[in-house]
Parts: sequence; structure tokens; C-alpha cells
Amino acid sequence: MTAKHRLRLRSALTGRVLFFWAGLALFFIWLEALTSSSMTPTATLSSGKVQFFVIAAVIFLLGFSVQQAQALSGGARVFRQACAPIGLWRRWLAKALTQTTTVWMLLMLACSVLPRGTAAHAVQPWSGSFIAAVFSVVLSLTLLCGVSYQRLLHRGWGVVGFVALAWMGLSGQLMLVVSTLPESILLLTTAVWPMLAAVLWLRWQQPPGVAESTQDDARLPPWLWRRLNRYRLRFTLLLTPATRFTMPWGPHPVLQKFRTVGIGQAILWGIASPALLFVNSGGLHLVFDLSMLAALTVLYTGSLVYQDLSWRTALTPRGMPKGHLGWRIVRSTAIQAMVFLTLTQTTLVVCSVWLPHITMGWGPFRNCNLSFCVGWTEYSELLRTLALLTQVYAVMALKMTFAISLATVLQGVRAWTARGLFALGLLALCWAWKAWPAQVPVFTPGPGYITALLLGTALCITLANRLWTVEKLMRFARA
Amino acid sequence: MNTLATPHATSDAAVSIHKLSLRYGKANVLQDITLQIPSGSVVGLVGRNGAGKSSLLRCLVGLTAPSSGNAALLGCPSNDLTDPVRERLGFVAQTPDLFEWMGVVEMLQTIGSAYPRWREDRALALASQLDLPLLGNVGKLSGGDQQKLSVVLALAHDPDVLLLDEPVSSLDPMTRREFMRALFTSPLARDNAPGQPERERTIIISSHLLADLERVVTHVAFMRQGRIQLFDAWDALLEHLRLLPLTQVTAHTLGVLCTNPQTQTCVLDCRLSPQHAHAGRAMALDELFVELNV
Repeated sequence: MTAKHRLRLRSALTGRVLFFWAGLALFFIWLEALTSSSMTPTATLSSGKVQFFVIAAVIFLLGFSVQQAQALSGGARVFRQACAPIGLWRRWLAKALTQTTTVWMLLMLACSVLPRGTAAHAVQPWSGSFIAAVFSVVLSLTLLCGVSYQRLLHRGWGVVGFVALAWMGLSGQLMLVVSTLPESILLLTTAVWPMLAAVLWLRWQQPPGVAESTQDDARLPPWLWRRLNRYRLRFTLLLTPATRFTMPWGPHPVLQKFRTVGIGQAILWGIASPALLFVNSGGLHLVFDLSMLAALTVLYTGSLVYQDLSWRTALTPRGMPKGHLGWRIVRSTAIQAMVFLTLTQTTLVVCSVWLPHITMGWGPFRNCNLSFCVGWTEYSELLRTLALLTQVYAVMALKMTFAISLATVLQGVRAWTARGLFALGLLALCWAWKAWPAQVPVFTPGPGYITALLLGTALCITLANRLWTVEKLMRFARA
Repeated sequence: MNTLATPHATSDAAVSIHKLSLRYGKANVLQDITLQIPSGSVVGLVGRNGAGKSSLLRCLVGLTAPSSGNAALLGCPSNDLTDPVRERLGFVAQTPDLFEWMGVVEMLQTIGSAYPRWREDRALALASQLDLPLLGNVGKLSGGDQQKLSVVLALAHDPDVLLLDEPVSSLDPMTRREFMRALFTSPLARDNAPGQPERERTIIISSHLLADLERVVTHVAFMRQGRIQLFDAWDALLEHLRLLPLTQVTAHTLGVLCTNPQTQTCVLDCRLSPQHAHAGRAMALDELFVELNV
């Protein structure tokens, strides 16, 4: 067989999801190109539309980069182990880089229809050159994080990339400053991706070695990393390729591949948690709150875990007690969720306290003046804010537990029943949103709200205990 | 414990290893291994779990960099194998690493496209011989079928050097038999250039199924605690190694490889003590394995 075989870097399933996001971004480009053909670009564009485009494109870039990193890692692993001629790996690498560069070029093309430079004051900071630079940097950093997560590069590169991405996402004022930079500098920044691609091409002429975990562990403090890692590995995600098709509302399998505690949840939490939290300034809107609970439930239907799921546990006396399995799932998932809530929100609070001038003021502290913390002078104000934060997070923890228990019920019933319940809930929310804001009340969470959450959780756990059996659970056990 | 490694210092060695050591942290996985494996030989690499067999094979194909020393395949350094050498090399790892989302045929075509000597008819014949299902995704195959696929991938380009790391551990007895046949009698004739001498295939096979190995090997390498304990032609070992009662040897007897205090026996190399050439008895491979690892 000497003819060049066409390489396929990923499965059709993951390709379809990327195609959806790419299609969305391209649709926008087409729409903009169509409308701007008869009018001046600045006249046709609104800041909202540009923001929509940027958000859709960034989400696409995140998914795309993760996929490319996985494809590169898979290729390196398989071709290295097969001791295949290097040419095969180079073709694989070239295809991955070409695909990524094609996406980059399409995005640059899209940016060309956007207004250029500082002339477009109407849509500041979303000028074409600024967005092009942002796309290029986001693409480069996410790919860097991805290949580092896949152990193709040193973990340090991933940490640098993640911190830089987080910085870009959180520091609104910094981005505003960047957007006013001279166009020549922005154009130079746009070249970050081609430069990274060239470096990767030159560096990876041989298939890169996927670092073995034993070697990686040896570099990290064993007293911390090993214990954390061992604890993490005790949780099994209740989702396998064979069963994921019965759970169509869960997050995409790409995210679920990050078994148990993974980047997928971290990203989702990073994006979602600020919106899910609230402060006492304006009270809580019922429909918004219900929608957020529904979103959380959807998130957890694909993220349920079970601690120590193994045939050995099933055979051990009292290892998997009948009638308590639902509670065990809720408890295991809640442990992970609380860890994530703590990590993400602590990061946000710390950023807000120590970097008050560059954050956008996201999260529960957005209406709180935290800048005093730098000086540590007004202790009473600090204590008041901490008490408020504690209250907010306590309610959030209860909400999460409720969402997890509801997700456990949904995963316990038959697929079509769950789909029906999901559709009903969606319809109800749509109706409520339509009625908003005229008829839906705004309220401040109090004892009644807490009691309702606790009762709902108890009811769901009772139902889940009835629905989940050892047999059902063991389908998710690793071999 | 006496050890004896008798490398054949031949100029036509397909595989040569010189003072190779591998350390993970404080653990010495491989220690000062020196070995010459002649072209055309079939070497059985045996040893207890953790003896270093897989690590040695991974060092040989360049998947793991040794801490010191070097190895060469077909005259090319293992840590920098060239494409011409890779094209003549087949490797089956203990745990097959495959593109799980690919179809079986697509996987064969993807890997096969890199080898000039790859023949699709040979790959399909091998798959048929091993009863490998060709429909469906690689990820849906059973562990045994994935192992068969990796065997087909390693064999279908008609390699000159074949390194197999416990390739039959997941295979049923019928498939194991077919696999052994496939190693030596390819379903389709080997590709030899006209007028050229027939190419010899060198095989290193690591396995715990000693009865299977015994039928096919020309040489055996015993490993223990990261070292080569004994390496020689299997015929020579059968002829010269004797299992004797301890009462028949003295402290001054030369060639005692190991002693077994439980059975009060020892293994003796009669080439060093010709007077014992007809004493005791010869051993099967599994028996020798047990004696060397007591």
C-alpha cells in the first residue's frame, strides 16, 4: 500500500460538535458580509452582535484546541508505540497544524469585516484588529494548555497558558488597555499563532514522548500530589461511551473525557459560577434562579461520580448497601463539586482582593468594595463582607446539592422518561421567561427558600435511592 | 546465585545491547545489560514479573531512554531509529495503544500507509488467520481482539526484526497457535528482492507461556532483577544444563548456576564441569525457569 491514506484526526461524533460551532461562527461572518456589502461596516455592526460573534468563536476555539491537543497526543502515542516511520507522524502533525491554521485564517477573515483600529469608536473595544489578536492569543494559549495537559509538553507551559487565559478573561480593564494599543502591535500579536505553529513543527519533527505518570509524579511533591491524585482516582464518572447516548442533555463527551475532576468542569465553573451566585443588593429573580438550577442539573447529569466504584466494593459486605446508592452518588458528586466551588471562588475572591484594579468585579463580591482588604485596616467591614460571602456560598452549596440530587434522579429513570421530564421543565421555563418580568416575583432568599431546597433535596435523594441499584451502577464500573 | 551470560559476539547481530542501564528514581530497573542477538534468531525473553523484560524491549525500540549504555537495532541506535530501520521493525506492546475511534480497516490503512512493504492482502490474510473482526470500531473490540489487531499491524509490513512484549497474554489457545504460525509461516510469501538471499526475521518474544515459547525459540534470555541471568541457544541449554542433587557437587565444582535448598538440587553447566555431563537430567524451559528463580 503505497498510496497516501487520508488521515482522520478525530471521530465523527466530536467532529460534528466542532462543526456546529464553526458553522455558527461562519453563519455570522456570512451574515455580516451580506449586510456590509451595501453599507459601511461601522454602520451595520452593533456591539452586541460583535460580542456574540466573539463569544461563539472563543467557545469554538476552546473545544477545537482541546480536540487538536487530543489528536496530537493520540497520534504521538500510537505512532511511537507502533515504531512507525516518522513520516506518518509528520503527516499527522502537519494535518493538525494545517487544520488549526485554517480555522485561524477563517477567523482572521471574519475579523476583516469588522471595523479596524480606533476609528470604530461605536463598537469599542471590539475593533477587528483587537479581536484578531485576541483570537490568535486564545487559540495559541488553549492549544498550549491542551498539549501540556496531554503531557506532550512540560506541565509548566500549561500553567502559564492557563494563568494567561484566566488573566485575559478576568481582567476587563487590562483588555481595554490592550484594545487601544497601536494597530501595528495588535497585528504583531495576531502572528502569535503562526509563530507557535512554526515552533511546534520544528520541535516535533519526532513524535514527542508522552511523559509517563511515574516520571511526572517524581517531579512533584509526593506528599501532596500523590495523595491528591490517588484520592481523585477513587471517583468514577458515571458515564461511558456505551451509555452516553442515553444521556443526550449532558455536556459533550469531549468534556467528559476529563474524568472526574477535570478541566471541563473547571471551565464550566469558571464561566458559570459568577452568574450563578448573587448578592443581597437586588434580591433574587425566581425565573433566573430556576433557570440556573436547571442549568446546574444539566451540568451534573453528565458529571455524576461514585466513590470507590468497583466489583470488589460490590462484593464486599455493606460495600454497596441497597437503598442507599442514590445518596452515595449525591455525596460523591457533591464532594467534587464543593472542591471546585471552593477552588474557583477562592481564586476569584483572591483576584478581586489583590488585583482590584484589573478585575471586572465578577462574582458575589461585584457590589462589595474589597479594595480595603489590601490595607487590612477596616476589620469590621472585612468581617461583614466575609459573613456575606459565607452566606452566599452556603446557599450556593445547597443549590448545588439539590441540582446533583435531581440529576441523580434523572439519570436513574429510563432515558425517555428523563427526556420527557427535561422537555417539560424546559417548556415551563420558556413560559416563565415569556411572562418575565411582569408576573414573576423577585425575592430575597430566606428560611422558606432554604427549607424548600432541603426538602427538594431530601425528596430527590429518596427517589434516587429507590431508582439506583447495584446492577445499574456496575454498568459504569471500570473493568 | 551464580549468573552466566554468554553473548554471541557475532558481526551480523540484529540487536546489540551494550552496558544498558535504566533507573526510575532510586529503582534500578535494568542493570548493565550487554547482549548480542544474531540475525534470524528467535529469542525468548523470560523472567518474573518486574524483572525488566518490558523495560528492556521499550529501550530497544527507543520508547524509553536508558540512563546509561546503548542499544542498536539493525545497526541503528535505538534512541534515534531512522525510517529505513523503522520500516523493517515490528513491535507489539504489552498493552496495545490504538486509535479507539477508528474503524479496524481504517486503522490498518492508517498505519499501513507508512510502510513501503505493507500489503493489504497480507494484512487481511493475517486478520483472517487470527480471526480478527474487521467491522466496527477499534474501541469496541475486546482486549484479545485489540491485541490481535496490534499483532497484525506489527506483522503486515513483513518486518525483519519483530519485538513482542507478551503478545499472547490475552489470546485464546487457538489464536495463540495461529499467532505462532503467523510468526514463521506468513500467510503470503515474504517479499524478497529477486536474486537476493532470503531475508531472515529476528524475533524477540517476551512471554510467560513457556510451553509455547519452548517450541519456537532458538535462544533464551532469562532476566532477573534487571539483569540478564542467562542467555544462550536453547539447544545448548538443553544439552549442557543438568539438574543435579546437591550431594553430587562440591563447593569446588565449577559451573553451578543456582541451587534450590527446598529440593536440595542445583543447576549445573556441564561445559564447565564435563565430568558431570551425564549426571542428573535435562530440564524443560518451565523447570529451568523455576530453578533459576527460586
